Amino acid sequence: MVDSSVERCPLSVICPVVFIPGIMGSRLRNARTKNVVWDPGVGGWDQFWHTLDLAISGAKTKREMLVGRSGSGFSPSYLEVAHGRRGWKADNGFQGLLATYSPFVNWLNQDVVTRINGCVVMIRFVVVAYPYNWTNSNLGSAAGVGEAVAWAASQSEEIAQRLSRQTIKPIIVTHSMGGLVSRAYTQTLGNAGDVQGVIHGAMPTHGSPELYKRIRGGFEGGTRFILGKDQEQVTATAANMPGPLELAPNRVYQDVAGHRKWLRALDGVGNLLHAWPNADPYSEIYANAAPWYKLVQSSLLDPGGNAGRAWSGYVRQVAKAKNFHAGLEGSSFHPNTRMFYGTERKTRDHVAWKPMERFAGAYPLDAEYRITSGRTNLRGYHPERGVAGGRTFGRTLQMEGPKAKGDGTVQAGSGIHVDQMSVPIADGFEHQGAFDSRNARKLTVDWLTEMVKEAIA
Amino acid sequence: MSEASFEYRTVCVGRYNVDIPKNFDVMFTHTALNGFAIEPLGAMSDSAVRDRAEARARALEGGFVNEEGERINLLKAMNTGPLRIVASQVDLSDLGVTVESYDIEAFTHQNGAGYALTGTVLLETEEADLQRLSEAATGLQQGAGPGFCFEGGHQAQVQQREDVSAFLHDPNLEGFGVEISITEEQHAGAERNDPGGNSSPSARPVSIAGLSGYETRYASNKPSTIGEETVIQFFASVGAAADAGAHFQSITLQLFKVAPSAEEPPYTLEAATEIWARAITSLKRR
Repeated sequence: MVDSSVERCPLSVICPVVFIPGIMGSRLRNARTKNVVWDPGVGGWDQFWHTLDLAISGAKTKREMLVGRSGSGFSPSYLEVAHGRRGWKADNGFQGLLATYSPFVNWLNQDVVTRINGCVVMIRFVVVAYPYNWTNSNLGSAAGVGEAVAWAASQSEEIAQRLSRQTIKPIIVTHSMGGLVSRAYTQTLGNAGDVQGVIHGAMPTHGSPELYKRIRGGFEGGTRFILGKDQEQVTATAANMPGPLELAPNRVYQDVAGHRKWLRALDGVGNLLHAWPNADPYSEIYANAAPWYKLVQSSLLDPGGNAGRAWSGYVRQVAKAKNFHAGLEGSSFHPNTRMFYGTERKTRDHVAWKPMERFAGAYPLDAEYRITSGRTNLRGYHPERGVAGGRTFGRTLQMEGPKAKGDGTVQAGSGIHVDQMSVPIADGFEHQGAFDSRNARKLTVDWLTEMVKEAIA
Repeated sequence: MSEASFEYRTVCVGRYNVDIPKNFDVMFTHTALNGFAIEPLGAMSDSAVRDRAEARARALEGGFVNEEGERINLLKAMNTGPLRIVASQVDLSDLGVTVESYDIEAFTHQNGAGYALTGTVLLETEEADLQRLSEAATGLQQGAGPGFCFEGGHQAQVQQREDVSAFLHDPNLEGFGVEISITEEQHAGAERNDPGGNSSPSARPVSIAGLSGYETRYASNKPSTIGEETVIQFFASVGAAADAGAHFQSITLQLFKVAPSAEEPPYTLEAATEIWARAITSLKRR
């Protein structure tokens, strides 16, 4: 006779997990020549980039590697993920991930023992990675998630059958921009029913002003070697790519305090003079070629090419970003979503241009200007005296440093101003290493376990 | 190296010849004349070219959504000299901005073959752009011949701007080859930076096809820790800065190997070095 209490115990669970990395989190290569163009974190690659750094320092060469020859606009098929030679299914996509993610995804491939209804139940997480061409539109990247979800489900089903266990629908775990890819997959493309739940780590929910700062002032750290150390180089690369442009703040973006106008002009002592966007960041900032506070200087989009043609191509990418954002502006989260965000690193939740000259008082928005990397020089007649007054003025504006709470890249407002379960982590994790945080890992496994319990309840 | 390990043959890329191992192929990855990309359509009649242009215009009538989700509207279809032009514009009405340009697909029948030329025309320079398009198309010919060569054809007439990129590679092996990119402008459209200027301590001067520049080489002496990675990367760039309106030339070469190790056969570090040396010394204007 079978003990009835044993009979009620659920079978152990094989839980498929699909991990979607952030921007710059997938190894990329030229789709035709197979030359790997993005693979930081690998010893040899880092070495050769340090060797060649200055050699390939020109914006034109960088653009050619990542976007295409001068005169070519962005094409989603120019780059592809540098999977292993045996294909992504052979290693569950791990080879296509940046090496910096390896410790986390290898760690997550683990067994967890938990109690359900008083019974001891083992959960085995089977992790499949979904590296993607992060230069492409996130909607384009989302179109491929279904294959990874199906593969994770079938892998788990096979193991479950072999071990006489049960399985559940896959759970998606995302880092950074991978959260936008996931939301596009489940919500915009309507696949929410295919996954049990979603866990977002360090997601720029409605964009990040850091994108503006990087295009106008360059990247810092190792990324600068490829995407560019200054405005000239970053404009030639990232500003031509829809993926990075979709990280620009959308219409409903809010800073930590809840303000929507994230682009500001201050006077020399810090008084607020102007703030944008008033209603639409696309027509006011991103696709506006006129003002000094614009996102992109058209002459830098295609070094060695035609600025007018390059601007046309760029505006098309902005339009794609706007359409993509529109799909995620509302409550576009999987109904079973949990997310965490960092709070202990100074992060930009807005961009403030401030004169280096410590004078109070206004300066006109329509002054003549000259833009250099990270700076803007304004020249004109004094706004209060006018041309007749004969007094000219000059201001050299630069972007203030980060001051808000966040993880160094994504500000805390991304986690605060949402209706989902959203938990701050105050251990000081840095954005790229979010899942190396012990607290973030514990939270992730706890949430995965909760979702498994929900699924088999 | 005193004796070559490979047998070589000479191939053309744009206005240049270069030696490649006999078993290598040339894959043209980008060809543009006067800013318009060229795609050979093969031998066909003039009416077949016209049919193709008309079919394309019909496909765009009433709007067309491309694979990136953009709505493309037909602007006009017209014949200009040897060209059957289909002009279109991306619908950016949601963005609230006006783009002062349109995209062109031009079809032409030249010397028994069809060609498609694609690019962007600016309203501000429309007349000049269309003139350049016509010049790029006129005289295109199939097969080998003098002037600027591309996949399956050539253009004998010197154009205002000529861009070509090609990948020289062993078709039976993925992850190894030489990329070559060449740009030549008779009158630079704007100031051009010095492609041969460099301050890297690891760079050394090099002369390719009579142009000065620099070269850097990287080779890993350790096996890959992730299965396969970039283990060899050689890079050279030559040319000179040019003011707007001045003649400008730029040549870039890159040899790469993505493999478990630099010594993985058949293209070991020694073999790669030989192929590289042959490429940069043999590259000459035709």
